[in-house]
Amino acid sequence: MKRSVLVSLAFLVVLVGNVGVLLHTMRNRGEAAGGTLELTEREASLMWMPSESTVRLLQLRWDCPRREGEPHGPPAWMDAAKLTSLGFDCSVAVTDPKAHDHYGAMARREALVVLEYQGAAWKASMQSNRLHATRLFAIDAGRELTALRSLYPDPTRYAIVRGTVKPVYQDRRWGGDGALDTPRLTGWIQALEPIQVFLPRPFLPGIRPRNERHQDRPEGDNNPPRYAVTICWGANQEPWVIAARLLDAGPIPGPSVTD
Amino acid sequence: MDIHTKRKAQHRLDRIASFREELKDLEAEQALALSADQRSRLEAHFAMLEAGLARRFGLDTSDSARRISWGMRTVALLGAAALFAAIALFLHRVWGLLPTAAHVLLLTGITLAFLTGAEWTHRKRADGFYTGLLVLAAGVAFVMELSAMAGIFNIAPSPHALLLWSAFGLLTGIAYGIWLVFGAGVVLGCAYVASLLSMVTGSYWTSFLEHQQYFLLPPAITAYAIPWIAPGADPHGLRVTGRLCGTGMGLVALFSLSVAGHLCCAGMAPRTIEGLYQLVGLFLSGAVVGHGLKLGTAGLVNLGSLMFVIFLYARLHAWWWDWMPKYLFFLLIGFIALVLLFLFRWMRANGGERGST
Repeated sequence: MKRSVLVSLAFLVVLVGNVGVLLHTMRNRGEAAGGTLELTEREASLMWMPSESTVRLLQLRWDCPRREGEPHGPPAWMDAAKLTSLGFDCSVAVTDPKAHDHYGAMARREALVVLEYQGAAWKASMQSNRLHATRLFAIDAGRELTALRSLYPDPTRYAIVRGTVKPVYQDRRWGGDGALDTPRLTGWIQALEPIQVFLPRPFLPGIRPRNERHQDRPEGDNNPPRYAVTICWGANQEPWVIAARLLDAGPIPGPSVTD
Repeated sequence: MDIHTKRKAQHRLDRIASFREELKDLEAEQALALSADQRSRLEAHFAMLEAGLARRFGLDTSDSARRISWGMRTVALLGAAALFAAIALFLHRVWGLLPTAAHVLLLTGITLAFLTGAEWTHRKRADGFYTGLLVLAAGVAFVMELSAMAGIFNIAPSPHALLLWSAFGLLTGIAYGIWLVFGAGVVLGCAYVASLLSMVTGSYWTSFLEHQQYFLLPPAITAYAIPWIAPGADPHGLRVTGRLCGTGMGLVALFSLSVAGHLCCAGMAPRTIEGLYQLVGLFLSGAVVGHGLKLGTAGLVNLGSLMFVIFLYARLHAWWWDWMPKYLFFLLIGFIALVLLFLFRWMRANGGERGST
């Protein structure tokens, strides 16, 4: 093949890549199929950037309901039945000697994760009395958007986002003492994709990350959130910011812990 | 004169210089004496060759010119890296102040500008090093461009970017004869195929990095077979590069499986799996060395030898480390290294070299 043809094709590849990205974005933003949530600085905190950088990214901070006595364990609702519905082969009994290797060798799979904002999961969590703790909780996962939306119909309280899930064979308490009476099959939500959201130019001018060196806020920091951002998740369950506003210095009005 | 690449032209010039040196020594030892007519015709022929090759390929005809050229290339490389860093840091500084349309135009423009610069230097018959530098910069810019655009539009990670990057690397590598860019294209292409195989089985696309035996080995084997699939002249060594990339990926995949057996084949004990992969890796590394000797490809021999030693040490570690005194373990490793050294010397004396490629 002639060199000029090869170089022309290389130019074309660059252009096709860019056009592909734009078309993909247009398709995603065509409808807010994943939901629209107004999150505060607690749930969408500004990431630290070097001082010269004007790039601003929001990091989604979320939690999930845990089992009693396992505050850092996997989601309480993630069991063998849920993993099977996500496409994992859970036919090997947990008491089988090969179960540990069988489930340990499994690759992670993509899934749709349901995020609930200021709902029952947050109220029941042990962090609900902490002003800086996130109120965004992962409460379910599935493979079909329409099926999940039928279970969680309110798009202003439930966002359906992309994530990855991996099974875990558990025979000891997570972070605690002692072995389990019976091993259990559970799973981790390994990541939400994407976990960062770009904050474009018009929004929140002058607001800098609260912690200049760390993404996570230190324990004991009870400063109220300074801003709220409205994030949409589109047809491809990818997010974008549609609005932002500054908040008063006082606490965010909303349902109290005792409601 | 059948010389079409700068590398072969430089090789011919180097042979002429070596011939002059050897001729001087032979005359001093009175082993050879040229008549005045022979000497003048020889020198005239050399002068014509050197002038023609230098003019056609921009080569260095003396040691001092060669040293200056290397200095220029080093400075150019450092300058290019500094310029690239300056552009990236400047963009970081102004990024949040620009609208989205400016983001897209800047990112696309930088990649196309580097590629246009590479084409311009190539047409001006500049030193191939500078063309290669610009092509490499264009490739890096393209990778950063798509990554940045995915960040701006919050697009979930996708394997299709690997396909675009691979296509860019392969096309520009072949167009300009740059093995490094071509090799990057081969590696990215294999990663893309591996990610597709991973997705077909229902796994997340990055799972091919953990389960390499299923997803990465097949494309690595295909890359090794490139010279058989597409035979023909290989003036820039690109087919050999593809084979080397396939070799490296395949053997590294086998090695990672040989130390993380729990990620494979749940029906067998992890230690058994690791042992099997180490033995397979040993055998295949040796086969690569043998094939490289047969083809006269130094890269294959070196890579196969390196991986053979790594697999051997991993196997010996698994056998001996837990129970053997540590000083004895390293003593045995040193002894085995000596044995391998004598083996390679014997192979060199008996097999000979066909000439490296």
